[in-house]
Amino acid sequence: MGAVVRVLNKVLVKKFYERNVGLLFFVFFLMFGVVESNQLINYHRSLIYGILTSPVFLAGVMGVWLLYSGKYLQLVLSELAEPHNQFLKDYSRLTKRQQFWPMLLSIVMVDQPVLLYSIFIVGVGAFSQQYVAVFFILVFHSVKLMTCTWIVLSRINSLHERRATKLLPAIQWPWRRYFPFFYLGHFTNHLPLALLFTKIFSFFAIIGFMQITTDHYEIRTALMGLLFGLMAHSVFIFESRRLEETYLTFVRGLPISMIKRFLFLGLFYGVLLIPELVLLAINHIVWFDLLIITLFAVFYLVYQHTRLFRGSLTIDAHTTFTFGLFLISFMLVLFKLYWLEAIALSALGFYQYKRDYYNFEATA
Amino acid sequence: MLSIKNVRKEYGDHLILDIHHLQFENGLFWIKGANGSGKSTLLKIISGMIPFEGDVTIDGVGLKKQPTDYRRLVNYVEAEPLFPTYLTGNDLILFFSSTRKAKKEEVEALIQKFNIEPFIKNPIGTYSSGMVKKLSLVLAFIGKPKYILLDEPLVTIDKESVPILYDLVKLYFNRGVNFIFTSHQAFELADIAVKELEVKDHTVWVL
Repeated sequence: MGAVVRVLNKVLVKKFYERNVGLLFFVFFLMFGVVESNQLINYHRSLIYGILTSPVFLAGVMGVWLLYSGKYLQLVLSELAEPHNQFLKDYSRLTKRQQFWPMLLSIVMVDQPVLLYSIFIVGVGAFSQQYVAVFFILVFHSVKLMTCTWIVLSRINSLHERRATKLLPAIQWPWRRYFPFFYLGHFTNHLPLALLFTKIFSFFAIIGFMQITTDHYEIRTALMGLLFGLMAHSVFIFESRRLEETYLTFVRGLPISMIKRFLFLGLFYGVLLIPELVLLAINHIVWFDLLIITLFAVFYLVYQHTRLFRGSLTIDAHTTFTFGLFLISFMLVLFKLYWLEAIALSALGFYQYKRDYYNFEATA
Repeated sequence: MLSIKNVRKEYGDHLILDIHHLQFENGLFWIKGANGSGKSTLLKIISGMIPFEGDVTIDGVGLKKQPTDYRRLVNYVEAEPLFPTYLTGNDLILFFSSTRKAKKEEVEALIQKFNIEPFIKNPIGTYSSGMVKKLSLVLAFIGKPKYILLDEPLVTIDKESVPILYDLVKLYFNRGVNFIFTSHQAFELADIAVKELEVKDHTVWVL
């Protein structure tokens, strides 16, 4: 069983955390970073009492927990469809009992952040005699974990049928796809839930920061919200590079100039950011500022993409860099120097892209 | 003429190729060699798919100095090509045609020749490995290359498609296109001499 658990952890659990490190960090920040440390315990005590005493609040929280599980299932089902994971067909040779427990354990590992917080809720509930709410939470998690395990096992046991199961239906594009849309197709087909989550977080961040009232027109609040949204996109930058090194390798052999390749990247990220830019536009950001913000946001993502042609393609290094760039950008936004950063990121991005594009070689 | 000078390729500490000087004149070249000898690596180097030490030129156009112009002169097909499953064959053909500035009639003739029209508008994820290979062969002939590099072109295609491939090779060869291919099976091309080379001991030997 130990060997099976290790394989599942490597193929499914580790991959989930790798892909969602940015998002998890963001949630952690919202939960523990926005409140002063001396208020933290009271803040969470109030939050937990709210969950335990209000059925509506509890239902809302359960909805968020379900979305989290849905995100995991989406990733697992798309990973199981990948050719390099077809060896998991052999998992179906185990007995039902031998299949069940390692898979349940891997799902518990993924659910750890939710389960840990739930343990606190259950503890507080038991202490304050909110037994009905505690009972519902325990039943909810048990059913959820069992159902997730059953769904994944069903998928693994049907791998030999060569049928791709998806949690969300893929968006079919009836027209010709131009090159920059090759990337977007990957997201809408293989990571639709991750895309949806990222956009929701991005919208919440922008709207949240724009609630800060000032006595004059202030662009920086919107930009700070946008920065959080951009950070949540870091997983898509990494996924785009992974796509380039797996399914788009043929593009390297085509006669496309470096400037055109760079502009394609800009166009792809520009299209990806259309929802955020529309949200800013309808929130009365003046057109010139919107233009600068567009350039800033696009080259913020393009720069990180071009940087992934240096060294090995690992999520750890990418995440560290993403966080560092976020901090620097946050300061530059505070000092109203985002226009300078947009210029610097475009120039540096093109320079390192031109230098590293043909020299990059993925290592096993 | 394709010229390879002082080319060296290592994967980590493992030396794969160390070619001092090699020239491909006009013709058809069959690269032989044992598994892992470096045949595919050689094709990837010539096509500009992987970085390497040294220089490769075609008629004076350098792969490193003029990367875009050079890539116009070489088309390459992998032994087991991977394409995004959500794209259609048509998406790829149109993309290749636009980057290689191919004529529409020419591309349509290739589509008909390989008989891929019935499934060209379906997502690649629904294709069999043979259908993917046929699509990749169509892509190999798009444009106006001087050299077409085919890595194991006979693998996974059905026996009906083999003579079609031979006909196309002959047709394009008569138009002045040169071919370099690796294969574990012999190319049976009447009227055209196939020059044989072998990758062995990290270099290329003319047989």
